[in-house]
Amino acid sequence: MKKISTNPPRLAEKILRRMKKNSDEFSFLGDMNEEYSIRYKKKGETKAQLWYCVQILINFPAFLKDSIYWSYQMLRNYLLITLRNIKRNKGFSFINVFGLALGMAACLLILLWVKDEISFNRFHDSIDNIYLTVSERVNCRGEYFDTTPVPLAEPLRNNFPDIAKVVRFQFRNNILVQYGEKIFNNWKGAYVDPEIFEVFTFPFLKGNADSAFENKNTIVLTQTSARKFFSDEDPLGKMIELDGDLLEVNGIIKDIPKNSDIQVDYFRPFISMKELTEFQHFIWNWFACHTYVQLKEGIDPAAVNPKIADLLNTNRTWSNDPLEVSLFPLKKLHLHALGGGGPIKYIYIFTIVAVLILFIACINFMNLSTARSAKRAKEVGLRKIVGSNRLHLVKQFFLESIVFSIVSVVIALLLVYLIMPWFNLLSGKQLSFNMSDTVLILGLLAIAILTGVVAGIYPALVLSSFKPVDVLKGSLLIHARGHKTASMPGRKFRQVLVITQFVLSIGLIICALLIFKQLNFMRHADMGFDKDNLVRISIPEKHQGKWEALKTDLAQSMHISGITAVSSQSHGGSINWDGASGDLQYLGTNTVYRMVDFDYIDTYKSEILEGRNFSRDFSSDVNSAYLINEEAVKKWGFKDPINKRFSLNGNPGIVIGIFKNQHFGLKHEVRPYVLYLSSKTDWDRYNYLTARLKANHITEALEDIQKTCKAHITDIPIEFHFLDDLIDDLYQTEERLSGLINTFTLLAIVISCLGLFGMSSFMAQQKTREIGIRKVMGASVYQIVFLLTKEFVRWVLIANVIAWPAAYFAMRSWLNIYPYRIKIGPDIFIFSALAALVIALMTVLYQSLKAAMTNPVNSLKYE
Amino acid sequence: MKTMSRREEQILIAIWNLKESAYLLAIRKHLSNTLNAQWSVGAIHKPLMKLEKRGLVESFLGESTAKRGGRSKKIYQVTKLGLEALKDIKKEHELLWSNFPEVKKA
Repeated sequence: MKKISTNPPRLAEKILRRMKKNSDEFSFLGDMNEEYSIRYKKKGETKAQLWYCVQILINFPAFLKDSIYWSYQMLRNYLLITLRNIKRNKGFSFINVFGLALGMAACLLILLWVKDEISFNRFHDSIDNIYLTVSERVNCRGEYFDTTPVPLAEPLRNNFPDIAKVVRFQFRNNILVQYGEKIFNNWKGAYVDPEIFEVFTFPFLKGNADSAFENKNTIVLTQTSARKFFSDEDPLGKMIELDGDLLEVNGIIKDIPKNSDIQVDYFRPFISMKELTEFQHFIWNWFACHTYVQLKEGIDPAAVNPKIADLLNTNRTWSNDPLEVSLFPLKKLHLHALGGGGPIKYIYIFTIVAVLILFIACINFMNLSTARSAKRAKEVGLRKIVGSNRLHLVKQFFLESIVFSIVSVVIALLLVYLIMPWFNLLSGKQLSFNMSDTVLILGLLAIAILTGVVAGIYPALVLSSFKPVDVLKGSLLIHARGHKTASMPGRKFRQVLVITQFVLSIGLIICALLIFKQLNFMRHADMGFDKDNLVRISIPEKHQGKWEALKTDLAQSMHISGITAVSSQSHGGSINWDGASGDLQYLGTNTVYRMVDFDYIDTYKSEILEGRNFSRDFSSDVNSAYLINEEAVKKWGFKDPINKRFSLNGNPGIVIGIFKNQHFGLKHEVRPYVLYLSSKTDWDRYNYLTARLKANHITEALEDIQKTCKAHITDIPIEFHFLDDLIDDLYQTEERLSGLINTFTLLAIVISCLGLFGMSSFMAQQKTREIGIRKVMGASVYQIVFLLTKEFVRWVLIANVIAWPAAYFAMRSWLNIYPYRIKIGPDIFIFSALAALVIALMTVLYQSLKAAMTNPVNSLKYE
Repeated sequence: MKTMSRREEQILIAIWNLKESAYLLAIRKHLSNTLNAQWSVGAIHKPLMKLEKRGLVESFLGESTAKRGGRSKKIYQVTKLGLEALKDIKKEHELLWSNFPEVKKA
């Protein structure tokens, strides 16, 4: 007969054993086993098993009560010990909490920024189906247009079954609006198709979408812009004057959220645009509006693209500059450049920086905790002896680090709250901290716990692994130099942590410096003209005719050294010259044209490299003289251009001179540039006067400008800008990037230093007796400081070796986007290394000096 | 001195009776044989722990059998204190019951 096992089921036995943790657990289980086998013989297996299971169930309530009671007791004890430890080591605790809080605050700010960036445009309900029509020149890859010709919308609407709706936007800046006494001249607005309110989410507060644009002379205002005019009155039906048109306010929409790329004060019907008839003859070449389409659900834009391209190219019959069309998702518009890349990389970079900073802070925590582990070793030993198992200890140390991280989160919140206004200034955003945001709260909690776990993982594992016998016998000695006491844990690990920290800090220093240097370079590089003290005065469209009178009057001012009238820059035209070769179409559209007057070169302090400047002495100059820049000569392959015949848009003339390349911002490569004195295109008008003010008479000169302009143009406030401000505005992204990186570099350094400070004081403490003995034997203060600091110096040097190549490659790829960029020289690397070294030494020196100066009597009687 | 529950008293006297072989199941069997009552394992275990805590019994580990999954028995023994307590109880009982007819007869 087969021998039947009379043991109860293993699993059941295990459970019972778990639940019954008394001193006599062992024999009790034996008793249960015996009873089981008796029942087994008497009543069979099933009944015996059933009985066993019932026993487990009966035991359950008592078990639950017990375990809750004990977890509560142990939790209380752990917290108590944590608090006592904080009290006993105030310095360490402060460094730990403050470091973590700083890291979290930085992380939090960055995450808020990232959250804001990726939330752009997402408030539109049908965001997933909205696309902007963009085109790329086939002849000149990489050149994108985000605007499209006006008449494109009509066929898209009627002949494309995949397209649900089409909305055109034509944005206008610096619009003059007037209602009664009140005038504003810097409004932004757009001519839009009425479908806008169906496609985009701009909810109406007053009026409604259907009737908003029922006739031409209507306007829809945002809440804030309406309030500027009609504080308490009902705005509906009021007539306001905008750009010379009298318009009826027919609707008020809710203010456009800040995270929208479309930011305007008003919308007015597209068909009311005057230029539509005026420019009718070249309407298919007038890339005047942003055309947004809403595709029907589930349509792949890639299938629609070629059809739109066909439509566009067949209508531009006269042009052999074919375009390739792509529908660009609105969702990606904010963070992706049309040709790929774009600010999305900053999102990645900053997210990584955020995580790294938090990680540095966590490293500090691990570092200090393991460094202090020797102090806690006895506690661990004792706990183990009275019955803690490893799991209990792991729990204890995790709990401890989570307590720390929760306290840190609270402090971090406080910090963020304090820093927020300044951060907003820096980042050009209006972030706010909404404590009722559940996502945010959950995120914070996640950060707290995650940080706690990450920071606590190493101490928890190391400290809990101590063997009680070693600890209590005292063989867990602090590692003394030259000895290999294997039981002191984490020495190598701590080194790695400190080095990692410094790698990050040094890397960030290098990046910050290089970004700063590039920015500085772009600001102060030779622009080909003197951009200081140049003021650009915009002449309002309806007063265009007055430019000459204005110029003559302003030239009288004794505070103005020169003045010139210029048009806006224009692109796209046909060129030809004697001996021309190559793709003229391509060269032509890639060139910038500008109508200027005789004083242009002198006022801008540009340089004529060859030939001569425009001159009033040559009567033919007005109609037939052209100046071209160096780049034009180079790009076009125009040999000996002086006095050669040249034509622009069919206007024949002669090249009279070559001027030095002028840069208007260094983010783009300089293009061929043509200057002339009289209108060669439909839109050549003197829109601006540019005046050079005398260096020490800025205020007076500006007063003169105000006065003179007021005398000529009475109804509209005049607008003027310093040219260098305008150019600086181009570098806003870089400036913000630089500001943010600087801040976070500083934070990373501070956090690293906190950690280093903690480490050094710990090491000095550990070596108290060694130092005492050395001093007694005759060591000098200098020697002792050397002894204490040389290790840190070594760490910083190793960190440099790692950080250099990493930073080099990262920055090389960043700099690659700039056509004019600085060289990455060794100076910055060496400087960063020295900076890191000095900072590290300063941090360490305080503790080292303190330790080295103590009277050996004090340190030796310490026993 | 704390009073003992009836159950504890029964268990204590059972241990005394069983001498060397007094472990949980034996006690249970003894009680169910003499008193004709079926008690669960837990009903014996809990009072046993209390008795031990109070120092009325002491325990040591005995032999183990395959039947027990190789685990040793926990054998209980009445301590001096326990014996005193038993004697006290007996005295009390006799005093209290002395006038009851059947007892007299016996």
